Amino acid sequence: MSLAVATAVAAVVLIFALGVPLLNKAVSPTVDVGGDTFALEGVTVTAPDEVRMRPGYYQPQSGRAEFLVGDAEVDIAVAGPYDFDAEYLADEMARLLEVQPGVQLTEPRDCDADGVEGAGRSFVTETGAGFACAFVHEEIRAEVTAAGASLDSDTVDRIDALIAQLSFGAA
Amino acid sequence: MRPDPASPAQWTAVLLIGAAAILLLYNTLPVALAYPRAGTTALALFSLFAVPFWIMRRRLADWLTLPVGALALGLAWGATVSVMTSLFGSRALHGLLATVWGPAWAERWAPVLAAPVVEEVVKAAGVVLVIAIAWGRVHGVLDGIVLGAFCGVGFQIVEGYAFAMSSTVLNRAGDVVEPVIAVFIVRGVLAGLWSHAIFTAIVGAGVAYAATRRTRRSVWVAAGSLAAVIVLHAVWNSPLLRDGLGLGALAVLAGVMVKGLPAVLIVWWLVRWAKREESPVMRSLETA
Repeated sequence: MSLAVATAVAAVVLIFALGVPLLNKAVSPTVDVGGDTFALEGVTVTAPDEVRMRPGYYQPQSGRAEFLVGDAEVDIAVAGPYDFDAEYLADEMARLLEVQPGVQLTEPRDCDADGVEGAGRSFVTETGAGFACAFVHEEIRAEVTAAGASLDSDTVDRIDALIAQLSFGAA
Repeated sequence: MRPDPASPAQWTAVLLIGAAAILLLYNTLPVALAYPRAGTTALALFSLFAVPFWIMRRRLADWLTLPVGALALGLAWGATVSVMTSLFGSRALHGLLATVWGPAWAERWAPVLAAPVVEEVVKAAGVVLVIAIAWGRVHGVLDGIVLGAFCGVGFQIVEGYAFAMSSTVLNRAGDVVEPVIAVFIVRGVLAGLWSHAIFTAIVGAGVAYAATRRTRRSVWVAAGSLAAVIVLHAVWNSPLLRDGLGLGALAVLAGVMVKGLPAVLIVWWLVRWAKREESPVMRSLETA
């Protein structure tokens, strides 16, 4: 009886923890969203060509969207109202980044979106690199976090092109 | 309840709780380190969830035979395996729903259709596993109710903590406790009573009923209790009455009561029924 129960319980856990996620990956391939516009809590972003997305990774009510640019994952989160400036927001993003296992902050970086100047931080991980950009415009904040195994200059340019498409106050 | 190296159920519990605990720490520790004041406050506040259920256990002690170790195992299962499995499973089901019906639809309905199924089934699996480990030590339905409540409260403590920390991070205003307290008031005070602990207590009653009666009908009762809490949980998560029909804060509170109270009343009725139908442990020992 103990063996039968143990097997059944382990099967239930494995189905939900591994089986369903694998099924989701198998039947939910990434889709090309180049040219599509996404509205996120007071901010819109139009994806440039060859930007992809997994189904379920656009959550308009939560103000979140996660794009795939080459091998890099680009997470955009928008919220408001926010009373601090972009530099403070970038420090807050860095606070969380630097306690992640294997993540090391490197140098600040420039970020620009639709004429709104942001504050950025670059970082390296055990398996790659990334950067974070913070924007605050009229009490709306937008956070962009990009990370990937190989952030070559072409990929970084494409991510910057995606960030440049962020349009504040347009949604 | 002693450790038994030959028990597959005990090995399953130890391995799954161990693996899930490592994953849980990996996911929560960095945030706790980044926001130590908020993290400590959240842990202290949400641990208070356990207090009413510990009092409940003491009040029902005359009817209970499950050892404290079994309840601790149920609590650990709820806090680790249930939480992490639900995290992966619910997120994946959300993705599947988004693939079929679109992202906006999935964002609205995944909490209703996906999360209750995954969370209630995995918590119920934990109750079944603990009862298998403590086989022969289950006196009656009240043992199951208390075990289920402990399993659910373990889930509720970690989920409440995670929501509070997520709110602190999303607030992006430093290591402050205001978002934690706000989440505690909403999830702990307003929505705390009729949540996971109550849902899993109902399943626990069903499983204990099946374990003690051992009839085909009792197995259907256990399955029915699981189906019922999935429905109750789905109604609780649904957008139904969430805005109080636009009639203000009191109407929102009334909506919370309408959605949450049935589960509490079911547990209240189950406890009364079990106390009437099942003899206290001391009395049955005296009779024996």
